[in-house]
Amino acid sequence: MLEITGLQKTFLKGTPNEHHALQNLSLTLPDGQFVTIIGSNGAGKSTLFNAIAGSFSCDAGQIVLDGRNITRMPEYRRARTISRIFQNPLMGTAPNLTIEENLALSYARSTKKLFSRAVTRKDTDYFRSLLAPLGMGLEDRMKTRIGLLSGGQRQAVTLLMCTMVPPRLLLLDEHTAALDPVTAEKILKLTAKIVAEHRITTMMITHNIKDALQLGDRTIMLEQGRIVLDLSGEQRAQMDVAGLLQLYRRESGKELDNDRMLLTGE
Amino acid sequence: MGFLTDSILLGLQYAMLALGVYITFRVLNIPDLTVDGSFTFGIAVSGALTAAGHPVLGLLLAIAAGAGAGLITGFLQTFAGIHPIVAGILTMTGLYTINITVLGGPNISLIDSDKFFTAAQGLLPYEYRTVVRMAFALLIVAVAVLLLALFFKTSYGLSIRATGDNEDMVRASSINTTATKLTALAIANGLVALSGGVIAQFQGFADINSGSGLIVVGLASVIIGEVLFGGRRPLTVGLISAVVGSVAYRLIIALALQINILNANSLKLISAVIVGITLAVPAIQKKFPNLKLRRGGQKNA
Repeated sequence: MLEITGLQKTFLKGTPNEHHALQNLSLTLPDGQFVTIIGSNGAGKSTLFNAIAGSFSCDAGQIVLDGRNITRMPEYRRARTISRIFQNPLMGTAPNLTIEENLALSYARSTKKLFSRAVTRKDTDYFRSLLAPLGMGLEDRMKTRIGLLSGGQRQAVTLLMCTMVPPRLLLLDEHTAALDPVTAEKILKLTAKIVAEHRITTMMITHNIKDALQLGDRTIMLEQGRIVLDLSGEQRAQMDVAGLLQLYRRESGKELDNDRMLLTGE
Repeated sequence: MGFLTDSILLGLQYAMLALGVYITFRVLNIPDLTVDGSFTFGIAVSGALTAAGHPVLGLLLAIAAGAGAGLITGFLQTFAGIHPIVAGILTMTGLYTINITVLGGPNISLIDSDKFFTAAQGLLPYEYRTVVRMAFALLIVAVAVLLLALFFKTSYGLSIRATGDNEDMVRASSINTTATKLTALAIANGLVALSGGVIAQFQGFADINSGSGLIVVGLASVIIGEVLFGGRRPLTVGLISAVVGSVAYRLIIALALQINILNANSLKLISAVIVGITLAVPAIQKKFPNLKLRRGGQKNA
């Protein structure tokens, strides 16, 4: 369970460019909930993720994960329970390590002692069984350097790395935006499957409104660091892309402005 | 053929320096200039203790001293947020004072002191002098390579390698990158100091200026090794290539001196030119894509 209360973050405080990225933002996610997040450019979506993951400290407010106040915890300590995947497929893996070494790196964080062998035969078999369902043939290339894989393949491996030891919270920051449509679709399906399998509490930023409404069980929209829309249950099930845009206009009094937002829907 | 065995022996003594440079430059991806200082620190500690009658303890403490120097550089890089190159220069510069204090002067002679290999030499006839030295040098290098190869295959070793490869990702997988950097710098400089410590005892004197410019020698060894092994290779092969590179570097120089192409004073310039050209290869290839300078070895992001 994630409880965020009164989160504030202002960039360039006291200058003419002062920017209120998060304004008194509160949000509660029950265990196992999958929330999709949409919003215009600069609405504070990634800032919210940075705050939760601990990339910077906030000006006010607190973040409580599973009853533990993590507001002041350093990033690498939070990473024990929070996994995050970025848009850039190059960010989640170490290019000069092999596929199995990359997987071992994540696997080790909860299961291994520091000075035990990083990749045992047993681990290799286990990694193979994780990679095979991807249908990318990666299970036969365990000793290939990750740097030689395509973006989609790397993102798939990243997804496995982030979930093989199920985190308490999974943050997906437009993790399919840099991929071609077919691969993106594949990775999204994989995401939904893994999240459902382990009942991982998940937040996903997307610029595809259709995906936002289809995946998961709740959709929130951010605007100027505030939550302006919070859809779930029946109301969300009834919603389509056109309806959402209309609702947005009514709530904020302007057009949704996001140069990467996909406004088309069937 | 004396010069051949001599330079192989010398290459093996400097191999730990090459291994240390390999760890910082290739594994951690940080150019670490502490090397000049930590090498001399090893010489000073090993020299002073050998003179006092504790040659083996001298080697062990040399490793500890170098590791300490590496930790200071690591501290400056991480907690103090100082640029890695400047951090290394600061430690190296500060160490000069410490080294000369440890040595008690600019140099000391160890000719009459017992060295770590003296007892073994005494057991065999005089003709086996070089054999004994060679055996010890090989043993130390082999143990170092073996321990490093095993260490970098552990979970923690893997985290260190990943830190040099994609630091953000490592931090995001709950590993403290400050700790991994400090560990790697300590190991690397411990090896460099061990190299200095061994050399002081083999050559029979300890001199305050022995370390100057050694970072270039270390880089040259690493790079020559990579050229001989056909580019950047997996870690264990990389470690071996650094050792081979160190020996090859000494052989090249001995040959050049032997046939009078250059005199001893031009060594530093030649080393710098070799390293400079080799490091420029990727840039040159980018500019002239049709030029075939080296197979493979391209770094993929």
